[in-house]
Amino acid sequence: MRMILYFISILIFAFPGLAAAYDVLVVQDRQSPVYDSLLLGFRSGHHFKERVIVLQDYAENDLVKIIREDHPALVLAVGGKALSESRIINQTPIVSVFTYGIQNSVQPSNLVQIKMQVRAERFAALFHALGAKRVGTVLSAAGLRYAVKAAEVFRKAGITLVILEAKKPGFVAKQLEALSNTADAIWLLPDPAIITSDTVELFATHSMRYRLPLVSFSDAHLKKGAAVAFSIDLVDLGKQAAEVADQIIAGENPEDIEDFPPRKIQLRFNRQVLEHLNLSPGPLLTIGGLASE
Amino acid sequence: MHLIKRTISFRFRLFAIFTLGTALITFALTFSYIERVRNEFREHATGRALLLAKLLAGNARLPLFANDQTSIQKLAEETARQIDVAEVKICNVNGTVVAEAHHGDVGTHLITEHLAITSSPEEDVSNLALTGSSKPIPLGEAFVSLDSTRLDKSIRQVTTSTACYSITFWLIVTLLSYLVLTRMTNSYEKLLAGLSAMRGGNFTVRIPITDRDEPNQAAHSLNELADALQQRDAENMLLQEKLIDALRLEVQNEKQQVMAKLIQTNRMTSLGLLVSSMAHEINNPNGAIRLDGNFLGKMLHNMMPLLEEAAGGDDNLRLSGLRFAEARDEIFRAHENIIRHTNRIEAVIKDLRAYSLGVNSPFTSDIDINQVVTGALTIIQAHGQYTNAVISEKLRSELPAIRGSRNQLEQVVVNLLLNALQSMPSQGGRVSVSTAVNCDTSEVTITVSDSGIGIPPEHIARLFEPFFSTRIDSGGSGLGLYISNFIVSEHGGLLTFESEVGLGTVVTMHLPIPSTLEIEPSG
Repeated sequence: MRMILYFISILIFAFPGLAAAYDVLVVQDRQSPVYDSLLLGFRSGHHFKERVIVLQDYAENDLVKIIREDHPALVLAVGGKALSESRIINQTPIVSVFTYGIQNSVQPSNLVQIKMQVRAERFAALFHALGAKRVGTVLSAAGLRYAVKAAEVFRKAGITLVILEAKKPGFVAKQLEALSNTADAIWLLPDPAIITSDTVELFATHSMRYRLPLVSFSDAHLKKGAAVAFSIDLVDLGKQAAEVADQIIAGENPEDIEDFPPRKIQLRFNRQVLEHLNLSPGPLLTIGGLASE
Repeated sequence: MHLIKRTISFRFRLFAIFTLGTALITFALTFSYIERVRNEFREHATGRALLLAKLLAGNARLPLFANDQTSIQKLAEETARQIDVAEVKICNVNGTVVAEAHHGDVGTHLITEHLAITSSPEEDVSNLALTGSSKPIPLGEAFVSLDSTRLDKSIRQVTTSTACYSITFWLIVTLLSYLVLTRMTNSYEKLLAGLSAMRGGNFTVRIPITDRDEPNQAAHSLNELADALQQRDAENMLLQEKLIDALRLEVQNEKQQVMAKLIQTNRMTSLGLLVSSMAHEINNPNGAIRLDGNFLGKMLHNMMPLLEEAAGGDDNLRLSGLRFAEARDEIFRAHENIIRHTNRIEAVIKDLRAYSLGVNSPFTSDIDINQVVTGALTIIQAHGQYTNAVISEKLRSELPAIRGSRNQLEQVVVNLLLNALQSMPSQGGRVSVSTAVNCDTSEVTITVSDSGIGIPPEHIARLFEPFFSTRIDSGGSGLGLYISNFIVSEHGGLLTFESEVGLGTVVTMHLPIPSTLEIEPSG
């Protein structure tokens, strides 16, 4: 073991130039097949010299050290945690992908986000297809601005958006109870302040108990009890990220590149859940929905 | 087959009762405990199965709702990994098995619990009803089967250990009870042993006193009782000996009396025979004397005229020193005496014979009491033994005749006279016999009084007892007054006694006068 570490140290210090010879530093929260699909798309058709770092294998502040030492041309932050740790770096351009969070904070100039958000109009059409007149959601204070905009869109579609605020994840259950008699459906939004795996389960449980269809922002939640969700083509998302990386490596200023949503979004529904809720998948099929496997 | 009855001791009975009772109670308690433990184990196992089913149902609720088969299978496998879980199955609402997991080989001893999976937990169903929400959505069913092999093994272990503890407990209690009972009943055993010995009559046994408990107190009392009984026994023995001695003496005395009476009776019988033979020996010469006397009398009557003619009026003629006239009177007087005395001898002999042989003479209605007395006096005078006593008589003239037997009445008077004479001292006394008539009671009385020693009051009541005599040693038979009273009673009469010790006795024989006769008062 000691010999191996000694050999690696020699390589690092004897050949410093080798350590810095890559363009893209890929930083991902954890190992995940979802990220693998995304990276597959990122790498297809593009030959970046890259280094991959999985944050769960490193200690805090290691990312900053690596970036300062390696000086990559670009950092590809995959996932919310990768984004939050990469935002400390001001000089190196960052392309963020697979981040659901509703951001209200000021975006740094070196950051380009491919936001995992679907336009409110699509959600309104979806709720309309479900026959919901009153849609309830629970958000933190940070997500309220987005919800207010969405409520205007919903109003135009004849749907009332009931918004309840939860300061912390622990308050979500109580607010959901309040929605039981006021909403026909529940909307799960990607609010990083309150969304955890437990709160997602709370939403799904509430949907099951009160027979209210749950519409989520991620098709991963279909298996958790959501009735309908928008599925994003991760490979294509990766390709989108690669295109932005090309632009930035070619010399384009990241500040000039605007954030954009995923290109390919598919509506998916859970047939079994719809059956339990006595809902027909017909209207969803009409708006292009697909049953999830 | 003969059943042998054995005496079961109090200690053994108590020990048996206590041992059997303890055994029954121990067995009952052990059985109840084992049953309770077994039920608890089973309830625990069932409860655990139910709890696992509840947990599984709770955890599988959302995955079933969302049809997440991967999660459902994972849940089933996680549940199946629990201890003793043999099989886990989750079915959807249609009954189709959605997930199944086994742990090892599924045996036959299973405890299966199942729970319906709905969209709401059970405790929320009532809340939903209260809030008016729709019914929960049936999602499926969860089955959890526990292998009861380990449970059965645990139950067997508990049963075995409990049984062993119970048996050990019972043995220890039995041993302790035996020791305690032995100690406690020791006093009783001694008491019983002492009682048994005393019951056998052995009052010398004393029960040892070792404590102050009730049996020892009873033993103390028994010892005192034994003391008293022993003392009384000794006194009884003494009294018994005295009684035996007294009885022996009385028997001896009675025997002597009986023998004396027998001897007297025999003597009387012999005397009777002697008298009879003597009578015969005396009668013959007496008869000859009377015959010759009669002849001499005749000859004198024939010779006297001749003698008077021969004497020719000579007053100086003497015969045997007497003048003729005096001699003549003497000769005639002597002849009368010869005749009279031979007649008297004949009468005496006749009376003696009749008296000794007890000749049954029939009753006649012409009995002269004075003659009876005279006859009795003749016999007494002929006895010759009591010549020192003065016998006087005072007979009432013209007594009415009574009905009876002269011989028997003479016998009575003779007995009374003999008793009177025998009661007087040897230097003599006075005996008087008298007859009278009592017009008021229509009876004739013969009274014999003496100046003898008198009869003690305690003897008065026994005078008529057969064989009662104060002169057994001197030949008294004790039958005289008994027979006299019998004879008087046969005559319808009564014998009465008046006596005073030292002054004498008066005996009165009362005889009834037949009712057809008139009684003339005496002048």
